[in-house]
Amino acid sequence: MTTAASFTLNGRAQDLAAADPAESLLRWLKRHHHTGTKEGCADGDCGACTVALLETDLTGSSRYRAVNSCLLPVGLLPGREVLTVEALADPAAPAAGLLPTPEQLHPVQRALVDCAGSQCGYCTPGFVMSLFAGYYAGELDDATTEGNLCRCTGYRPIRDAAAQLAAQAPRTDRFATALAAPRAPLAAAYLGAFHSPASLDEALALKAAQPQAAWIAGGTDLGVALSHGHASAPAYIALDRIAALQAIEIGEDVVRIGAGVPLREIETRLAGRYAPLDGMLPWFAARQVRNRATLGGNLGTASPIGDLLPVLLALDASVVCRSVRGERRLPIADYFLDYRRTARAEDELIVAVELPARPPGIGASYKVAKRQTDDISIVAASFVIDRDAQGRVRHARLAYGGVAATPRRALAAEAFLFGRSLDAATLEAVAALLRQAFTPLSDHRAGADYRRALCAGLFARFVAEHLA
Amino acid sequence: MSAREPIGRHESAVGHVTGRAVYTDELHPPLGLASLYPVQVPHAHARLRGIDARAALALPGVLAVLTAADVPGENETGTILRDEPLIPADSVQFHGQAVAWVVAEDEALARRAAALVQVDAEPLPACLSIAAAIAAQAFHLPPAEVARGDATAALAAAPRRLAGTLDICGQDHFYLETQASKTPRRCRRRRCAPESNRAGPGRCLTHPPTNRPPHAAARQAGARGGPTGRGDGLAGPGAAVDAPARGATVQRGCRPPRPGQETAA
Repeated sequence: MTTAASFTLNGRAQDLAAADPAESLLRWLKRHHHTGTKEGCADGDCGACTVALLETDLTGSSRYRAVNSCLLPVGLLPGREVLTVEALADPAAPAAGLLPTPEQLHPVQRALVDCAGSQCGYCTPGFVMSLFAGYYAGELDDATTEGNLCRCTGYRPIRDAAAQLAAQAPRTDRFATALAAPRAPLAAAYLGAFHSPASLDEALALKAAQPQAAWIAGGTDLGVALSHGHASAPAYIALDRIAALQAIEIGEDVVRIGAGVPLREIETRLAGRYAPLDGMLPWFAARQVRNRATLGGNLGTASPIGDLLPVLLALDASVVCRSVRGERRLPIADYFLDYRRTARAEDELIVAVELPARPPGIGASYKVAKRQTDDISIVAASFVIDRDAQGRVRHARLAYGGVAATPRRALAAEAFLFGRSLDAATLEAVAALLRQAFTPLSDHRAGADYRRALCAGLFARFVAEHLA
Repeated sequence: MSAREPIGRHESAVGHVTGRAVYTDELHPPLGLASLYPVQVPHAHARLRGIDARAALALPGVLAVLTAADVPGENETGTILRDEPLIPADSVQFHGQAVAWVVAEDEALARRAAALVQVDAEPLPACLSIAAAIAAQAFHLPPAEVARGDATAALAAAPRRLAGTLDICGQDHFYLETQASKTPRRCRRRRCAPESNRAGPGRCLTHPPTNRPPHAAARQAGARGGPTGRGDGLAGPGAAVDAPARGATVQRGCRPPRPGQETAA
């Protein structure tokens, strides 16, 4: 069964039959005169184009997810429901010319008006939609709008608005009612050369038939290129409606995370289980990006600054790949070969990441970037240390991103630590080993010396914070 | 966590929060709207020797390629220092500076044509750090001294002295709000009504020879110091230059040339 080429925008069906599937939703909205959604950067950085995407999980429960419409290719939309800023005020509000009265505004809109949360107003629709998603999820804190930049109002009145909303009783309005309605899982959809299969077998068969087709998971990396009109593949196979990629299974020995589970979902559902994961996810990217980005995508693009990759190295993850030829399990240590080159074969799809259910020792992750949130790493690091009763290291993982062509472990430092206690002499020697473990690049983010210093400094911080 | 009382309600707030507030780039395009795209130079400092626009002009739908020679009146826009040409004539002062503007029937064509404009620029040494600038005595403003009392004597008599240097990285203010500007055809001095949402529309819409045209701005970007003037050279001055010259309505869209490629002095 396939879905007709249409999606629901603000409650109305929109025909996509003639649409360019590689065009961003943001551009589509503008061309169709829905100009309430704003283009700031078109790169997924500023959040001005935030819309609410209705997501239904495997259990059938739905929620509004704030996403950047600039990173959402139209090809992903068939069958989906999207809300933009225009949909929030009471539909009884006058359609043209006259503005809604304060009583007709959505509580989120009224809070921003009451708290003087807009000045030029250009970023405001994005803030409205992030707060809207947070309002129905019962998540209204600073992180709700972490992916929205404001350049003139200032964040204080916007935070006031969020606080005012958080203090309100949960609403039972038409949006809450719409969320509670039962929904079937999204059916397979095809829009031009943009395929959205609903099963793994179908996805693998599509890839076997069209080897040049590109996988697209959350689209937060590929979406940047598409947003700027750089379609790189003749066809795309979207992975975001394949149920088999959406599950998290917590077993006795292994936790299996579907490659298509959005990071925000992992963050919520595995909270407290893996300290290195907990420590990195909030800094991975802003909320709108984490609502779409996936482990499979992070592993597939295999960027040396993919922030979850050092975490997976530190946790001894396995990467489960599948093709029409079968399935295999790659230890993460064997996965990265060279700059953006991995042991995954071209026709293979990453279907899951497996983590040991009970990882040894104590772990943590760190990320240093020019800006704390919503920025690209200078160096990311993830550490796990386990010690015996005498305090001697019996397991060490020191993994880094941003220091080489691939995410890498500092193997010499790990070997040196083995069997030693973490006394001053050991730590001094490890710091020296870490400073010379890699030959990082100097670029506009930081110099090589700084990166080398971070390799040692972040481990010292880990020891001071967690092992002292 | 209690909300503070705002001083007053923003008159456009309801428009902002409902998406009804309209910005320049969203106005219904008038018939015959042309688009502008900048030709940028990838040198921090260079001497401009020539611009060959023949290949761009040969594309059907390309209306003009504007250079400093096309500015009919005052080409200088600097409000304090007179060193910000609307379109530079002979020297490039920063990486990415626009030295020409392609006017074409649509934005995609203007962008394609801009890539065909050949700029002959001779790179010159550039000061890329404070230390290099001091060594070259290349100061932004004439050196100024702020002094009070006898600091040398006071320091000499101080029981403790700390010495060191402190580097503070510069941070450029840049724009989230639309950079669009639009100038209607038959724009005559003091009669035209250019549109812009920039924080400094009066500057970006500089209209020779008066430099002070009335302009329309339904709503403006907020200015917190930086955005007011930075990047004027990329904000669409060509619109003001070209409209009267060619009799067309022209627009510089809000979309940056390439991700992260919009630069300013």
